[in-house]
Parts: sequence; structure tokens; C-alpha cells
Amino acid sequence: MAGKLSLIKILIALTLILLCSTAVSAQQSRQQVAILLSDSEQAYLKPVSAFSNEIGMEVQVYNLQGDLRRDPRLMDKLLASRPSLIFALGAKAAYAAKLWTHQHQEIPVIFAMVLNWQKYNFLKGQDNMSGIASEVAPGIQFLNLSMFVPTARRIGIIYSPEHSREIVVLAREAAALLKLELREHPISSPAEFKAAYRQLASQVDGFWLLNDPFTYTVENMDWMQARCIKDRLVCIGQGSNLAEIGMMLSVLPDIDNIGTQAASMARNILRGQLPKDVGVMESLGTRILLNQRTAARIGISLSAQALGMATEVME
Amino acid sequence: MIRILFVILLLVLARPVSGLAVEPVDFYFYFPDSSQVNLSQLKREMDRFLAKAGFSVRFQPFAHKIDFDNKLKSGRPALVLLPEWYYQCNGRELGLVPLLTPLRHGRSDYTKLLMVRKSSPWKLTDFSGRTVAMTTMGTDNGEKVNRALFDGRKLDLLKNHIVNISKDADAFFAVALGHVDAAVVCGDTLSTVGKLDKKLVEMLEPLIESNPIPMPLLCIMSGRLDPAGIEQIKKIFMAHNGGSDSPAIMEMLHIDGWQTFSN
Repeated sequence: MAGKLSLIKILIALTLILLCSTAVSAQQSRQQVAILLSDSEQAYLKPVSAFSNEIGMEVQVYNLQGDLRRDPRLMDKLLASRPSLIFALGAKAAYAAKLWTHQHQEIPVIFAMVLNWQKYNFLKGQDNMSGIASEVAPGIQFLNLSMFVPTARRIGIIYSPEHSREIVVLAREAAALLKLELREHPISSPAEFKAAYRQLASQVDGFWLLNDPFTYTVENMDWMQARCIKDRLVCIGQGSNLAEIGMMLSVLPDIDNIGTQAASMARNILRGQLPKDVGVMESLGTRILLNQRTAARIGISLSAQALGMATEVME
Repeated sequence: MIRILFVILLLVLARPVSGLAVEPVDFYFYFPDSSQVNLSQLKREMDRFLAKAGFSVRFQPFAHKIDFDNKLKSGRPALVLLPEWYYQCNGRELGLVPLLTPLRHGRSDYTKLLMVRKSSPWKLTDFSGRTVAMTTMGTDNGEKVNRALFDGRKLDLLKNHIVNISKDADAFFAVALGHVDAAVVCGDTLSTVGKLDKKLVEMLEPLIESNPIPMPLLCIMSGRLDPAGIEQIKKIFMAHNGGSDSPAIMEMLHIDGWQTFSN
């Protein structure tokens, strides 16, 4: 009799273990990733598509439609799906993802496509936040300049400390790494730009143009494009229109690569890498736009290899 | 009668086409390890090369896997040049049949190098927990990549964090600037960057060379080219083997010959 009871106990225990493991595996098989969009911006389509294709898990897309208050139940809907991770695109989505996971920091968040992400303090106070920077790092710009024009070693920067202090600090570090010399000229209004250029032009081999509201004005860019050709100086920046209007080189983030990079980061996090150790990665994909006509006008001959390394060449 | 005409029309539309026909055939290209990232230039040269040989194509190169995936499924091109791993993952399902393999320095394979900055503390003996940038080899990262690249070598990529990028040169940029700890980069990319600015390559050092990786495959899509078209394509590409006057397209892709695919 006692033997029978023991057997029954063992069978019950086994059944319970099996039931529990089935429940756990069912939960695991339901694992899904949430994509949170700030709005229906066309630019999000490619990253969403690449991320969904490469993550290898079920993906559910949520859209804030431009306003956190538009659908008051969206947070509950998203959290009810118990996502393994949230991929947030745009500043509003990143902000919402941080806010909504404040009490659920077991859910990692990767944000992307947020301009000037530093000003939002997304990483402050929450260890579940990580992201991808939207701008191309100064080092990438300088490395490309060095690759296409190895003789350009002295780089001029005109900037407003009010808007670009942090990026200039990064630029100094990158220049030191690549053994380039930076010549800086701070300005306090757009009107000072031309005088700053004239002061620096004779001391440098080229200029790096910042997305700074005091330097990056239509008038300044038009003027500078003509002056750089006249003074035979290389100009590099990260606006796609810069190469189009006649500057020699533009290096931009490859938006289409963001979904691929985010999917890799998500896999690493889901395999145990901590979001706080990931932090905010640079956008690793680049688009390189080269204006061959401008290069010729300032006396730079580009080899077939150089032309092959540029994503787009304007002839 | 209408039914018969309809069936004939369908048969005509579904027939295999020859490159000699007036209608050009679709030719897709995807090879993220290529140092030739200027796809417009590549398209121009490939169109010129094949047109000169009397074979009319609509050549379409792709920079991103997602675009290539989508277009390959919907477009059913007659010819495709793609990485060998892509063929192994999806080729048979899509009806692709390997035809030719390009040769580089007379070999049908190439290698990649795990590169770190010279000043970095990372050594092969304890290489783990590092972030490594590299081009994709499909969705199942870790294991497949490890098996393909470093099987039997003193490196376990699975103990590291792989971050995929779309083109090989970006992996080089990322490691050179310390945005990642290491990168798996093609020797071809290093040599191209080195020709432009030697100093940039000198900032890095290799930790280990990968196993040989098969060169990409030139495939035909089942039923999309007739036997005459297939023979013509083979002849066009193989005509330049061993010649001193390589067409620009071959120089652009750093290819010096072609051989018939064999398992």
C-alpha cells in the first residue's frame, strides 16, 4: 500500500513538473518584441522592416500617433503583451518607453532616430535604457576625410559654444585619435561666420561643418561652398544637401542600417548583455556622398578605389 | 477558343527567356563583403560589360539584406550574384541554381580578419564579452558565424556580442574609432583602405584570420533562362579568365576569373 502511495506521489510530482515546464515553454514561445513608434513617419518604415525581419521573434508594432495622450490605453496594451524588449523610434517613443518601463525595468529598451538624444537624459535613473545615436560621430567624418584626402591634416571648425560645445569635445578626442589638428573658432551669432572663416582659411586644409544653427544657414552654406572652391579647401559635413550644393564630402548615417544594428543589439541584450553596458552606440552604418566635380575643382584627384568606397558619387 | 488563347498567352509569358532576346533579363547583386560600395558605378560597369557581349540585363545591386530579401522573393530575377551563405540558407527554396564562382587571386574563397586597435588590451587568449562589428551572415548569428568563420580556431564568437552592419567598410570604421572593441573585416577592404590612407590600417592589428569563406555564387533562377542563355552567360564571364585585359567590372569586384560551380 505504502509503495502504491509513493508511486502516486511521484507521478503527481512528475505531472506538476511537466505542467510547469509546458507553461514556461508556452510563455517563452509567445515571447515577443514591441516596436513603439512616435508617429507614422515614413523614415521609420525601413528600420521597422529590417528589425522585424532580423530579430527572429514575433513583433508587435504600437504607434503613439504623435501624442502620448492620444490613446490612453496604449501603455496598458503594450505592457499586457509582456514584451521581451521595446524598440522605440523617435524622441516621443523613447520618452514613452522610458516612462512606461519605470516600474518595469526588467523590460530592456533600445531607442533610435532621436536627434540630440543627449538632451533628453534617457539613460539617467534607469538601467534598462540603451540606444543608437542619430548623428554620425565626428570621428567617422574625420576618418572619411583622411581616407579621401590623406593630405588634409589641419581641420577648421566654426561653432557656437551655446549649441555645439559637447560635439566639439568629441571632435577633439577623435582628431587626437586620428592625429589630426583641429583649429577652432567659436562664434556667438551667424553674422560672425564669414569673418571666422577668413581668419581660419589660411591655417587649415579643410573645414568640418557642424549642424549648428549659427553656422548652418542657407546664406553661410552658399557662401562657404563658393569660398572653399576658390580657396581650394576640402569641406565635409553630414547634411545630404551639402555634397549636392557643392561641398566635397558628406557622411550621413545609413538609416536603412539602423534596424539591422538594433536587431543585433536586441539579440545581445536578450542573451544577457546588460542595456546599461550597451549604453548609446554610435550609428555604425554610413552613407558617403562624394562630389567628384568639386574634388576636381579644388585639385584633388580621386582614384578608382576612392570612388568605389563612396556610396554615391556626384559627377 | 478564348481559353486556348489564354493558355497560350500564359505559356508565352512563363517561358524561359534568352539573353539574346530583346527583353532584358533581371540580374540582382548582393555582396556585403565587397569593398565596392558605389552601386551606381557597379551598375554602369556591369550593364556596359554585358551589353558589349550582346547580353541585355537590368542589373540591380542591393546594399541592404532586407531590400534584397524582399525583391528576390517578388522579382524572380534570371541571374543573381549572392553570398554563399545566403544560397545555403534560402537558395534551394527560391529555386536558385549555382552556375559560376568568381576567383580572387585564383582562389574561390577569401578570408576575414578579427581586427582590434593596436592600443587595445584585447588578446585572443581571453577574447570574450567584447562587442564585435561585422557584416551579416543571415539571421542566426552566433552559432552559424562561429562555425563558418572560426570553427577549430582559438576563438569563440558566441562569447561576444556581434553587431551587424550592412557593409564591410563600416566595420572597419567602427573598430578604428573605438566604437566597437573589434571587427571582422575582409582583407580586401583593408587593402583598399590601405591604398587610400595607409595610416588608417596601421592603427589596427589582426588577432586571428578566419577559415576560408566561399566566394559569392552566380546563380540562375530555375526556368528563367533557356539553355542557350545559360551557355551564353557562362561564355561571357569565363572568356576573360587568364587574360591581361580584365574588364573594369572584374577589377571593381577584385575578381580575376570565374569557374564552373561544383559542390
